[in-house]
Amino acid sequence: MKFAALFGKEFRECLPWMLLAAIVLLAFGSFFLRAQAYDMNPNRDWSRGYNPPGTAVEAYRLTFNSPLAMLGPWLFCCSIGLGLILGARQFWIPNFTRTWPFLLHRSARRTTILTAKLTAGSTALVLAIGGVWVSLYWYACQLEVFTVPPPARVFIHGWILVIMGLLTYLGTALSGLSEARWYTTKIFGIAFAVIIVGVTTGEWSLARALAVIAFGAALLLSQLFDTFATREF
Amino acid sequence: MNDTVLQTRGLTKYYDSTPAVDHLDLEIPRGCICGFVGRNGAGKTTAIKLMLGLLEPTAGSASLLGCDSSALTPAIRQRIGYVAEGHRLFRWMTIGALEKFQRAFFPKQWDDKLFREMIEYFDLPKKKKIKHLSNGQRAQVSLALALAPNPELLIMDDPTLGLDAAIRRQFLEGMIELIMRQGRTILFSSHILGDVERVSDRIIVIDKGVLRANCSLEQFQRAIRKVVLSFSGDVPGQVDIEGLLHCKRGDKQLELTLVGADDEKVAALAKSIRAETYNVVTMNLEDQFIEFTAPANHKRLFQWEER
Amino acid sequence: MELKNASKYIAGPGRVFMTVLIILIAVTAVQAIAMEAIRMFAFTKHTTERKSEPPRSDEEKRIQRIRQSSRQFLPDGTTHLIYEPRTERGRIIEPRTEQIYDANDHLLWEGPSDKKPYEYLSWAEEPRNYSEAFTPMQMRLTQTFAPLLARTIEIPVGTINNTEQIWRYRPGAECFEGYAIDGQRIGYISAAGFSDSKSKVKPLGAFRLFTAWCPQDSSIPTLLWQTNRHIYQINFEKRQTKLLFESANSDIETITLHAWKDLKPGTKDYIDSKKYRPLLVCITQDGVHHLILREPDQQLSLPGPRCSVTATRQSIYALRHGSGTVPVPSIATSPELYKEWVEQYRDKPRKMWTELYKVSDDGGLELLNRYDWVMPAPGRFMQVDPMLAAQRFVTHFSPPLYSLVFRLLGREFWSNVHRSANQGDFFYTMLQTPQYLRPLNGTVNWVLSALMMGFVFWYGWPRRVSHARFIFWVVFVGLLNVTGLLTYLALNHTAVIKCPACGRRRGLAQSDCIHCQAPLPAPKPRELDLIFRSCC
Repeated sequence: MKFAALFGKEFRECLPWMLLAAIVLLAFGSFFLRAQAYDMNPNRDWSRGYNPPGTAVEAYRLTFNSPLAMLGPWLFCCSIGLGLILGARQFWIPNFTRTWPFLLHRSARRTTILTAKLTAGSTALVLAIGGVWVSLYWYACQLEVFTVPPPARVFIHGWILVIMGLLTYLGTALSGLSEARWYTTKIFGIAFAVIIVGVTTGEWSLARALAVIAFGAALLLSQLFDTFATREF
Repeated sequence: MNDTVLQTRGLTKYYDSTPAVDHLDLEIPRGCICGFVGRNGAGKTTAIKLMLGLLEPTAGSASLLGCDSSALTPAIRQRIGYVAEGHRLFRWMTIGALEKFQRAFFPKQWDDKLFREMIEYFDLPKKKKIKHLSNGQRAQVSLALALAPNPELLIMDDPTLGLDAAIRRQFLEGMIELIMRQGRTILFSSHILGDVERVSDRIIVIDKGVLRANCSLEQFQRAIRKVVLSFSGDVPGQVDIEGLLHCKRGDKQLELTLVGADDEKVAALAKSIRAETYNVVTMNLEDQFIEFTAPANHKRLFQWEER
Repeated sequence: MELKNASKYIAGPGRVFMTVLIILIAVTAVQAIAMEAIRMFAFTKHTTERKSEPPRSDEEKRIQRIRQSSRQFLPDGTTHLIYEPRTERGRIIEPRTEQIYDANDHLLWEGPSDKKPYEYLSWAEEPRNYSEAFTPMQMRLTQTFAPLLARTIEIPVGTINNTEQIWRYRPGAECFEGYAIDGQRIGYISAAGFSDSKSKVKPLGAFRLFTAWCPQDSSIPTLLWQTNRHIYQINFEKRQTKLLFESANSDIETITLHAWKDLKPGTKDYIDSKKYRPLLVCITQDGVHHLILREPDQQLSLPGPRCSVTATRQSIYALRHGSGTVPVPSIATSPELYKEWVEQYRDKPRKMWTELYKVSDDGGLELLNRYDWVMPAPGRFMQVDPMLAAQRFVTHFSPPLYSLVFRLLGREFWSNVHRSANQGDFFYTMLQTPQYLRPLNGTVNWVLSALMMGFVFWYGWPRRVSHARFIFWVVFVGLLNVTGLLTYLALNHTAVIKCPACGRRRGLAQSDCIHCQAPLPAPKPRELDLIFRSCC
């Protein structure tokens, strides 16, 4: 009941931002998909894969983006942006509104309070960004929309971008909890999350990407719990 | 049941190399209203946060209801009410939502009737958001939220800050209402000595992090006295007396603020410096506090012309 | 163990790791920028100095000409040197002309290159990266988890205005998956050819390269697909996979092609098929050259060393180059070897030669001709590489740990790292940092580290919480130099006060003095407070 109350309160705080991000992503994503569906004949343009007979083909011209490709940067930006905003909302804003003492003087352990915060923030992010991504991918898979379904890899790729948002959220949370001044180690949480995101974007192997993400998340989570347990408010 | 609800032993907190709280030794018995007073930056809020486990002490320890402050269990926290400085609540919540949130942590203790009565008494609409409330209304909501769970110990950090006299009166009456219930203890810090004088039966004075006084209000008020001595001739230049807090010279008059001077000592003093007459002036708590916490050689901001 | 206690043991090292990583990246960035700035300054200085050099003598010009000439061969083995006239600074003079010299340095002909009267042998070449060839690095780039979502290799089948099928490469399954344009799956093309069921798919193998062309009778690409051990030719229109070569013993290192693609005359990269047989050369890692010829079909093997091959309608030729020196080691990865090379080889004249062989049907080699020349010591032709000086200075502040790690893991490990990084592996590119930035002057580096250790000792001694932790930090700073020092300062900043008992500086992380165990000083009570307490 206590956890539910904490979760409800945190989720409610995340709700406006979650809805905003979901609406932005859904709006732009739908726009780009519909634009491609209507502009192309027959829905995808493979014309550059054809060459006059007896000529060499430039190899890179045989690589194609899926119709969801234009979504990628939007998905990435919305995911990272929402991660930053939720982390700031939950962990930076209370420093300015000075509501930490009220929150912490609950008949609940600090780990429970932190778990509720993180669960609410992560759920909001996954529902907002991940949910929209799933629906856009499902839409793109309909044969009435695009004749050939997008590759499964693209779906996984999208989820990796969602997880990057989660990492940014954790990094922002850690920075918010840090007691250091802004010009010293306060932003190291965000910086570390950025590094993990950067390394992941350079990765091509799914196993290695997940390993990097898991490592980064474990490091951030352990520090979050430790900092929250020992921090002075 | 243990008679001591709050205890600190050598409680110390340093910020950089300056002690904000310095070897604080306190014991607060059950069932009292304790006023915690001190000048700005004296360390009141720091001390309260140390007691509640929101800050880590540099040295020493504190315990509430027999539990170490650095490891307050949820069960102990349920028995302690806390009103933080500034009444900082979640601005986006309505009073009703806040009530629901608070109630979730006190499933068995929550006194719904008391909360409703207080809200009605203060005339607060439940659907109004916290951010649309005034300072005074927020203070009332804070008090209602803190009192409704029937806490054994209520700690309030400057709860009447920024409130007008009427609201303050209501607030204090709410506190008295709680103390009427058997076994409840209140510790509240305040700058408004009139409020402390009105409701407290015990006073703790802290100055630059150091405990100056921890006694009943009556004892405090008895210990600090102002004596006005009149002279027919010249006023003595040098007055050397034990327990002298402040000396003010006038024309044919000497005003002395003393610590620990009972009637006998005052009479002996008047005789020793050949005062013609002397008069013990009634001081209110605020005057006593100011005199008690003034530094030894402090200059007053405005030096009135000596009469 | 409570979660709080467990997380503390992970969080502490985690915090150190995180801080070190961020500061290390920042310090590395500063070092890289400083190195580039120094290099640019030194290069500008060198260029300015070069302008004031006296002009070359005739002999110097002749040697320069021989150096800059390409050696070409006629089918009968005659050697010619083709030279494009250049300025003193090496720029080709416009309009472009060619001068043809024989082996005895006599000028045979001069004029525009398209008008030269000789037809020289052309040789099999590797498909050029990014235009002809699709490399593993490009394959990885299409798969990276960058914001622009993954791309795929897709081969359309149909006409330019009406695509009927799409064949999409699946990197995980190492095969092509076909879709009809109505979205229905057609089947798979793999090493086993076409199959309508996934169970019959045989993976093509770990991808290494592909090159593509449209044959003369089709506008649909045919792919030459190279893996570690196999080379396939895949025709999507006919749904056929032909195995051209399989290496039993050793991975394929590189392939070269000549007249292999069925191109039309006049198109770019066309080789006259009347004069040359289609040739595919696979060079495996054991150095063997496997020749696959068509018209007629034939397979041959040539042992190493590395050579270029061509096959006319009459004969098969091989071309080898050699020199009396060793290859230049990479200054970045092996500065010590580079220094050795400079001392032993760079400033000395060296012999060079080119040999033309005829290849018999059984793989035997018959030497047709050989051209020798002597490359003089570079002298003033040699450009000064200021990178070494820049690297030496900047790496004074690198962690000494880099040197230790470099020596511990050995040259072979770092060579593999370098190779993987060149293939576009981002992780290995980052891993090269110790290789590039390890201290070149160990003495100065260690002296600086020692000074920093001294500072940490002075700063941290009164603040220490335990001896073990203190020693850890001192050693840490010693191993990581500036990075370690900044990390230490970022994570260890407690205030100090003077202990009233012993008079020494002590930190506030512990309640008792670290030197004399005296507790924190209690405030002196005022006389008035004592009086007050007595009356209360």
